[in-house]
Amino acid sequence: MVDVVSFLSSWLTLFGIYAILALCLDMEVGYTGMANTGLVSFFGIGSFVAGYISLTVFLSFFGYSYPIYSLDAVIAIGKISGSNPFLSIGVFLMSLVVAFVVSGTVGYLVSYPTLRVGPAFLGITILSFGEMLRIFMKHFTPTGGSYGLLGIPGPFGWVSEPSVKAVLFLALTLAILATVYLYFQTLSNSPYGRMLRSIREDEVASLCMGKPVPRIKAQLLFVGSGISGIAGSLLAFYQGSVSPDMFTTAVTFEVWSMVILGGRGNNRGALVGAAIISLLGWSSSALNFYLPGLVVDPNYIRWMLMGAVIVIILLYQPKGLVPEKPVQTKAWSLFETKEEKGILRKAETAVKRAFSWLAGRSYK
Amino acid sequence: MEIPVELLNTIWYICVYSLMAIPLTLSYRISKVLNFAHGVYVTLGAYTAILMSAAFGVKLSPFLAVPAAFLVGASISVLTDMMVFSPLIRRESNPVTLMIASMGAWIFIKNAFYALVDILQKRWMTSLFYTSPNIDLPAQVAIAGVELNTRLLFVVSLSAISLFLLGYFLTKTRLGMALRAIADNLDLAQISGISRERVMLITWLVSGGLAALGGFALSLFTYVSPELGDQMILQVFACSVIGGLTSIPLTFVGAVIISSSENILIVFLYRYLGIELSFRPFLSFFALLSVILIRPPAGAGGGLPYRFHLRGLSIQKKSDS
Repeated sequence: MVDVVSFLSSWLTLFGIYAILALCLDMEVGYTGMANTGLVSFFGIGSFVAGYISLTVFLSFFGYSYPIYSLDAVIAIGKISGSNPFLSIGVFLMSLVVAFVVSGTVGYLVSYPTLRVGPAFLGITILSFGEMLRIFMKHFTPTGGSYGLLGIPGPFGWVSEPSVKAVLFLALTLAILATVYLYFQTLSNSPYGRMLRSIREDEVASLCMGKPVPRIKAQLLFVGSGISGIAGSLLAFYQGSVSPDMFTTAVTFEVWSMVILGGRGNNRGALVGAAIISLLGWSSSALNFYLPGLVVDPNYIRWMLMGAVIVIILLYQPKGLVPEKPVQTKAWSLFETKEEKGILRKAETAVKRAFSWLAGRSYK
Repeated sequence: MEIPVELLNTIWYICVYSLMAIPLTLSYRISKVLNFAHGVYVTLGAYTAILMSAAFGVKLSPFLAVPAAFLVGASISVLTDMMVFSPLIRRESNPVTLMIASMGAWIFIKNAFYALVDILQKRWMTSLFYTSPNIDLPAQVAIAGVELNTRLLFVVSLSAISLFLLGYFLTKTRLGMALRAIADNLDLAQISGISRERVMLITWLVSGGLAALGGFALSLFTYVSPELGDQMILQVFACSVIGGLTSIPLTFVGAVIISSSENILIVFLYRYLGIELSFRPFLSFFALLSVILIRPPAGAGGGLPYRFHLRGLSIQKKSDS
């Protein structure tokens, strides 16, 4: 029997992590028109940074001198991870900040060569950057090579009950997701967000209007990569282990399919897409677990569905499930209050619409 | 006379990379689609011969395997065009949308193929991972007293003949000239009465088929797995980027650079600097990055505003892309 609490917490935690990624990608692709195909590299950098920092701090705080990828270190961490709540939470917060800074800086540096070429070359270069980083991490011994880091102590290691721990982590993830969502919502409705949309529509025109297009793109890549790094560190703390093979290009395409399914240029759409695609991923792994030995591996079906979703949405519903909405400026919100707020006003509008429909004219 | 194995490998890989990268350049020039699904055609070409020899349990004649690989790659490529690219191009979608659509097609075909290989493997009780096709070619042949590897000869002649035919088609025939006209100036070519749809179909047919031949040529001397296309696509893109995604001769130069750096330069680096051989893919990435930094490809990839500082480059019209 599938446990409802464990189902909800595992699905929602994955949803939270992927929704943060989808929001970042939506900001880059949907609002600014930068085809970032190397999102997974910043995600991976974030999770490796988080794992490295938390393991190093824990081991040195308790006076062990094992290398962090050794088996002794994993055993020692198992003993000490639950002993000090303040240390756990402090290390968690610190690694979030450092992951943001490191991933963002790498994103900013990557933007230097890539923004000087067009979208096609940006796609190739960032994609190959991600693959290169993965190959490099597989041979980089200080983070454990291809085995990666194991036994990363989570922020709630001191809670003994596993389900309470899962729910606490879920709440934390959703809180971070809400913060990121509010931040991006504010950003996209601000003058800066309008400038981003103008860059998407016509780079040359916005350059001629005096907007420093390359600098803005680099800034956005800094913020987007940094926040993907935060998502990566959440993944590291959730799973307790990271390895380079978790960060293949497939993850990037998963996030891309979320953004396209939900609708580009709309933060709400990214959430919807992330919910649907992460449910798909969760159900395929659950099928694998409960019904092993099917004729076709459910993972293949899931990926085929994702590819088909990208193509079909682009062909038949290019705006996605939640189409892009106009910018909510101060003036727009005043206008909306006047038109739509209040039951009487709404009823009046509905009646007017009905009459104009009967008369064969469109209202407004 | 003993030929060093690195040199032989370089020759192998020049043939294979040019067979894979030149069609990519060709299809980008004509359709302006950066085709990520290109790697899938490579895999399908390699696996056509493997699946045929496994299904019939016989040694396959190379003169049967080559047309079969070409046909499979070409048909999948044309199908992709008819179902995905040409509706989007007809709607005048922007290059980013086309690129994403090609990614979607890539993921779909790749995983459908994985599932197929998985099922066939269970049904036939043979391993289809890390295999090579069972091709009816003798190992060595003596020409004028020199012992030569038959497979190497076969691959070299295959790529030479197909690239020569491609060059002949592009420069001498009417259809090939129409194809180049579409690539150079779309509006003028359409005014002259060239059908864009038909030219595009021919392009996808040729490029998918040639990429499949590249995959087949690769499977003659290494073991291949269904992830072949994904492993190769980075190097193939690097070759095309060195050619600026526009020039076919420069793409060939890119193939020479990439294959010699992967086979000869890495050995030198290993011997004198102690860099491990598994860092091989980095060299093609560095080649790609340095080309982008030193000589940003003009016209092809868009990215207009940042190239104002490069003098002597004409500004393309927006409707071209």
